Amino acid sequence: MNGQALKACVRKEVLLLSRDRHGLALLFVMPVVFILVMSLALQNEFAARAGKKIAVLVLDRDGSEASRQLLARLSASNAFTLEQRGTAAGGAQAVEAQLRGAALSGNYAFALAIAPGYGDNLARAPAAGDAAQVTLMVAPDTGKQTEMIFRAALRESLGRQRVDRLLEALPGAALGDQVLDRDLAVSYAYAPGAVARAPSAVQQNVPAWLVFAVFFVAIPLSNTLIRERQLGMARRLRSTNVGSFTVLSSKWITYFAINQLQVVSMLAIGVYLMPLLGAEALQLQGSKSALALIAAALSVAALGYALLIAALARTTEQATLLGGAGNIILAALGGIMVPKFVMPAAMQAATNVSPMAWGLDGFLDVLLRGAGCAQVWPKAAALVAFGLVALLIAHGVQRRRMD
Amino acid sequence: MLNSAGHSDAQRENAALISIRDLNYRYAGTDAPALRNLTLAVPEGGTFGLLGPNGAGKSTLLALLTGLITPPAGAVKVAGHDLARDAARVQAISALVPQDYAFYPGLSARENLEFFAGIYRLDARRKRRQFEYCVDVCRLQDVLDRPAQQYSGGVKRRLNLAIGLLNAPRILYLDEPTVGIDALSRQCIIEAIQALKAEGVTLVYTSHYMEEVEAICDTLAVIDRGRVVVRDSMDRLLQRGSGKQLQLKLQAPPSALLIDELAPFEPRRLDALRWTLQLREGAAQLPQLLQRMALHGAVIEQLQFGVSRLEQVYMALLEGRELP
Repeated sequence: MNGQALKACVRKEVLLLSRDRHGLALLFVMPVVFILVMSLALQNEFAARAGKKIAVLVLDRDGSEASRQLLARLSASNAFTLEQRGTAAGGAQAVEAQLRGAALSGNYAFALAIAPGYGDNLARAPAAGDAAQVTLMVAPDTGKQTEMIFRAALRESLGRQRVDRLLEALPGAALGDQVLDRDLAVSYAYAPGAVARAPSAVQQNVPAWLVFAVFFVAIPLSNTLIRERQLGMARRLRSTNVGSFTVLSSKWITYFAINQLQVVSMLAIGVYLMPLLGAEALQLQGSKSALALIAAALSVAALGYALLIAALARTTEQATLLGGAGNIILAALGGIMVPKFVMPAAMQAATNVSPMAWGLDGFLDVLLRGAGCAQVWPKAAALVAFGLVALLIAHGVQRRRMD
Repeated sequence: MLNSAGHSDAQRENAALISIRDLNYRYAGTDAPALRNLTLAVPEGGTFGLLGPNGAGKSTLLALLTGLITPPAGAVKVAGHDLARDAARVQAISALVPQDYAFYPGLSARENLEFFAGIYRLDARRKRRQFEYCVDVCRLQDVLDRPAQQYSGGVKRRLNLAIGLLNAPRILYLDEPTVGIDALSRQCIIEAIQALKAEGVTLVYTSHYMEEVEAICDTLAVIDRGRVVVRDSMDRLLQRGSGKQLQLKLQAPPSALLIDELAPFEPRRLDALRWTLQLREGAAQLPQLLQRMALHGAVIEQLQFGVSRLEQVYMALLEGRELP
């Protein structure tokens, strides 16, 4: 391989790509849009999964020791953030309007009001026709599951308070939380430390769409190769003594560098831009060399895939269709579009067929679980193997076509 | 094979820059061979025309000569190198100007030429010299920095040629270099080719434009169905074909009576006014013929005897007819 010829080829590739506005948009703008839209749109979903508390507006119209105990009991569950507000004048109708306004504001999942006299009424059994002691207003975007959980928690707190009040009359029959919790043992299916934290929308979406973007080199790279074939450039280059290895290496070097630029810029967007837009910043945990290893291996896989597309397609239209559709299928299968952890077990197993899943898992291992090279090398090796197999198949197809 | 001057293949091969002997080539998955026992010698210097109908094997032959397809060992020698074993050396002294616009339309002429200078590994001094030479010969000065996709067909052809000249090749393969362009650009390319010829470059030229081939080529080979039908110098081929044919252009279409009168001369109608006649006994028959025509009131606008156009020779060769 001659250095001067290689330099000329790389320079030419860079010039061509720098003038290909559609190709650049595909490689850099499209993934940024996906990252922004998906991270911001799914922020709350991910936050809920990560244990973000449910916001509840409280109007404590009783203000008694009992109502404060009720609210303290709800807060102790760690599932809800209670925000108390003063009651507007105007009676029951005004209270309902206030509750409705809070529920419709989009800031609260629930709004609840504790009726005056709540504490006094605890000790006596409720009679038919009594007004409800606690009124709950559910926000329109609150999921049914969340509503049922909150109602259960509220009912449990109310019931416990009432039972406690009754038991006060029986000496030595105290029924504290420790006593009740003895009947319940909780454990987690995953190994301690295996999942340090659930991913936030940014932590999931930045690496996911980054992996997707890296595979999109398939379109500009295969189009360049096919255009060279169609224009007779490939023929002309073969008639010089430059050698196809040099020509192919120049494309590999250029697009490998483009891939690394994609990785760096997408991570930078996660770290610096997302917090400016009100989302959580991407946390770059784990080893930087492991991150670089996965990024490099991912690029090898993507470039092998691109060359396979170029070998299989006869026209640029076919390559664009094959590359685009292939990427979308690999992304859907690989947990890019729908996060793997929300999939049923069978689908989670199916993601293993997609190299995008190997890349994404590698990034998540580093970014979420603080993995190093020793932990991610099997995924990196799988990606490199995929790239090399694709390259071999592409070579075979191309050779058969030339014969 | 002997040509009309009586030179044998062996004699020609000794003096040849390119010699091809018993070359056979078949594409994978096809029944008919693209080339069958093809033997050909291309002398050093001058322009060697390669003619033949579509599918005759010209493109396959060019692909073999330029190293795009590997020939069997020993079948093709270029400047003393066996092409099968020493393709890199052969490629270093030759260049191909393909029929396609084989350059990057997104790059300017300057960028395309710089790219190919890098491919040919020209050092800075040689690069500058060859760059200036190519731009000058192909008259690209005014378009150097514009993207090639904005060029007219003629300028694209000139850039295509300029790229082929960058490595100062000893052998230049020109595959229909003037197809589909205006007369001015064609003239420019033909002048560039004449200049290269004068500099001693060996040009192997394929084209379907017979007048162009006749004007440019010194030696000619006609290929059909993978075989060489004829290989000779242009002069001798045209002389062979000139023989006894008279070409006439009349002022008005001839009468039926006149056509009957000319029957012994085997009249052949080219169009209403243009006719060819065979003078089997040569020019001696001409006065008698002209007299008969005058008696029938035929007015001759143009008359040509003893000269044959390449197209007629070519058609006769392909149809297996006797040369006119």
